[in-house]
Amino acid sequence: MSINASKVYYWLSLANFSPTAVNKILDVYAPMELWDNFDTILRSTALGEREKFKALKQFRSEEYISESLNKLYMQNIGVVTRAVDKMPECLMQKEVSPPIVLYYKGDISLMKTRCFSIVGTRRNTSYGEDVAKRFSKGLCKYFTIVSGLAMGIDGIAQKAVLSENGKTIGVLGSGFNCFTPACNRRLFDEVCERGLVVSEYAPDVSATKYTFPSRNRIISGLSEGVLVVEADDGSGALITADCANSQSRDVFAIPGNLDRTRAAGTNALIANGEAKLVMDYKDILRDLKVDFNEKIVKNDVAVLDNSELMVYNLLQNGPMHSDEMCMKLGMKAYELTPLLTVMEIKQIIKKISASAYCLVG
Amino acid sequence: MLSKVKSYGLHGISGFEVCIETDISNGLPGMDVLGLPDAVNKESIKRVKSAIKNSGFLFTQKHVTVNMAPADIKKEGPLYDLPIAVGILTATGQISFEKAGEFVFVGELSLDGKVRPVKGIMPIMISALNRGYKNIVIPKDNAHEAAFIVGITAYAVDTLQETVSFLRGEKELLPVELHSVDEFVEAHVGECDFKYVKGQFTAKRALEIAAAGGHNILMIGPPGTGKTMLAKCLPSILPDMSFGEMLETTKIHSVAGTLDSNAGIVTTRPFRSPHHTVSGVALTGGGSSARPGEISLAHNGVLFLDELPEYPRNVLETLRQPIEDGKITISRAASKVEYPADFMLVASMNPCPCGNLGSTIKECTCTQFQIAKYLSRLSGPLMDRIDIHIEVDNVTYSDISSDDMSECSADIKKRVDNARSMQTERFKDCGIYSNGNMNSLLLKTYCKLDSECNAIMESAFDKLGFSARGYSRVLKVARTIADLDESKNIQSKHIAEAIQYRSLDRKVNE
Repeated sequence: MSINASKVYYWLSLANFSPTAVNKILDVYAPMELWDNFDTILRSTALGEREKFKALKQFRSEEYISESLNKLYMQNIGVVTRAVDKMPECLMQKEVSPPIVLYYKGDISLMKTRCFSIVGTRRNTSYGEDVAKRFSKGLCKYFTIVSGLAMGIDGIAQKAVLSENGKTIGVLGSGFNCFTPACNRRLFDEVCERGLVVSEYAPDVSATKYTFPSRNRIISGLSEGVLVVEADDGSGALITADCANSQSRDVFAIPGNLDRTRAAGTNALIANGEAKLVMDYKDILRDLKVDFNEKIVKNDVAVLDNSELMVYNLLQNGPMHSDEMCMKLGMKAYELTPLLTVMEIKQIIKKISASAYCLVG
Repeated sequence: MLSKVKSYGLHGISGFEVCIETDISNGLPGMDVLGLPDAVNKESIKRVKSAIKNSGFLFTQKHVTVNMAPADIKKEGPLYDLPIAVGILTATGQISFEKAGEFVFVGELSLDGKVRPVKGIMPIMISALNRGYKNIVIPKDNAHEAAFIVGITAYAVDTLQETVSFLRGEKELLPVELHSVDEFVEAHVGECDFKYVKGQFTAKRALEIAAAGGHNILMIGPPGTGKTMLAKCLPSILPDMSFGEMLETTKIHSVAGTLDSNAGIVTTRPFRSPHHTVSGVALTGGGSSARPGEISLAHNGVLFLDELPEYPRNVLETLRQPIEDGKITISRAASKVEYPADFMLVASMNPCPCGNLGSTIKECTCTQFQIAKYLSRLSGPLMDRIDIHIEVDNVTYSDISSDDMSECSADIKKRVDNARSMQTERFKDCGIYSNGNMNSLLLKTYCKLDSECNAIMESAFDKLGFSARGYSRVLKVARTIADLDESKNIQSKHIAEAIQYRSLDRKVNE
């Protein structure tokens, strides 16, 4: 087995340099040149830089590299490097600050499909949950949904995609063996199996304060656009939006309640012109020029009987609590409740939070 | 001289016969009590001695040996004071043998000779009656309890002196007058009435169904939405107790000593609401003497657990078996006691730690992890045993300010009573009182679904992501809704309504 460019990249990744640092080195030396003349280069570098290179030295052996690649293979973890054409072009743009290697589990070909990312706060409201589900279910028919497998909006969106049998990519802020948060472990396993999980970090690297913002650039880099569902001030999702803007990806945001802090970040994005306000997932499809059937499937109101129609008309003004419906319709609870079940089964209305209902679609 | 006097002891909610044998023999003056007396019993030596002396009788200068047979069962409580005193007076010839043998005696003595009330008179009398005893002497303060037992004549005494005069034939005592229960049954009076609860139509309807069918119910909602208020109104619509139910419940309260001293019988369904710091033993019953716990005190009534997830998990898990069986068996090294515990569980909780999840007014500040952790305090098997879950939301201002009175409890109670009497008729041979207690066999017999109902059930499973565990619960609740509707068969609207009361069954990940 001889050394090739791909292995050199892998070798460079072993020292856990930041992508910027590695890119700086690679600006000066070609990969093969670096490997072949490593000792000369080491001697000629300035003292400050030399420490960094020394870290690389201990891994500079063909046996070590092939052995560690073998170990990854045994753990079912694949590696793509810049030298391989599996690395999608969108990640190779300079603005993305391309990763030298990506570790992955699952179907690597998904990276070459049309991707779109849905991100948001880890502390979502039930409104955010509802919207994240709605948008990801709509968009996953046209895109592979990219997100961070985190708590809150990220996880909700990806779960919704899986429930629709859509494709999804999870980007980790840690190595594969150090996955957090533990409560999303099952989702992580499922995405590995049915979608793709990628990470810039070697399997045993654990997450730090810096790894999550850094992986956000990969989330946005992979995608044609980013939807920020809900973000408070200083939410990590805003970093993703920032990355997306600097990578000239489209950024979309869901407007939120002005009185609620959870939506302060998304509202600010819209106000500053950094994101486009969307009200329907079709807005995004139109914007990204995806062909879709514009025909609006209206619920057949004709199948409703008289009292059902009353409920239907009432709910057209927005979600409403069942007690309020009782009052407005002058119905008794025992008359209304069966009606709600029947309409739910007909999928005309759905229960949102507590005892509030809204129209479907 | 040797004398024998009958008394009764308590084991759980049944009495057992105790024979007090007293022997006066030569020796140093003093007194021994045999037959596994507890600390209270050992002290009775001193009480009896003083009581006899202070009542103007003679305490012997010889040695007294008192044996409480059977000797191998532990005797607890002060209720043997009176029989021991009578035994000594008989053995010393101050009372005739024949007369003392006709009666069963129970009662505690105070030093001046007054007879003080004891716990468990009703179960003791019922056991004595079943054993064939005709006469019993009880403390005067317990007389009201004795007023409902037919077949055994109770004489209520105030002092030891009165007892002795009665036994000597010097004084005539009238037996305790029998009362009919109806004198004590009165319409529910209380501040809590559903007419004061504005809005909350769905929740009120769910409580009506729960009361009618004896279903366990869980109310989920943000703080300040009136869950506790709703629960407190529940007793006002609970169906009347039958005499059988009253006796069952009174026995337990008599043993626990929580009986209302004026009524002497429990005529309204008990409403127990232990605080969430309750210990497992306090809830289920136990302790060295296997006392009844909260769940038994709530027998035929309501056990209300406010803020359900705040109860320690191990305490809640102890409820699983009693909910299913309607009774609890307390096994301790020394004794094994079975108490009835057929209660309706009413619980309330917040949807998340901050309490505002799903609120239309306030914002929830919890993470998914926090919410999951909070909800995981309630185990699946426990939630499985709750028939109805409802979500209670904040009342809107227009609800509060509206002037029109809601339906009052008395009207709701009429419907509940009606539905319950249908159930009593239906289950008259099955040994249960309500739909909530149906087992799978009864479910098959009485909850047959036509094709229309089956179709709704099927699509509910299909479209609403229902899980299978709720199936039989929906059937039971639908049966009660049909009863409230005075319908013989379960119709599709009944099923459709019942489905709405199973909100927690819907799978989280749709």
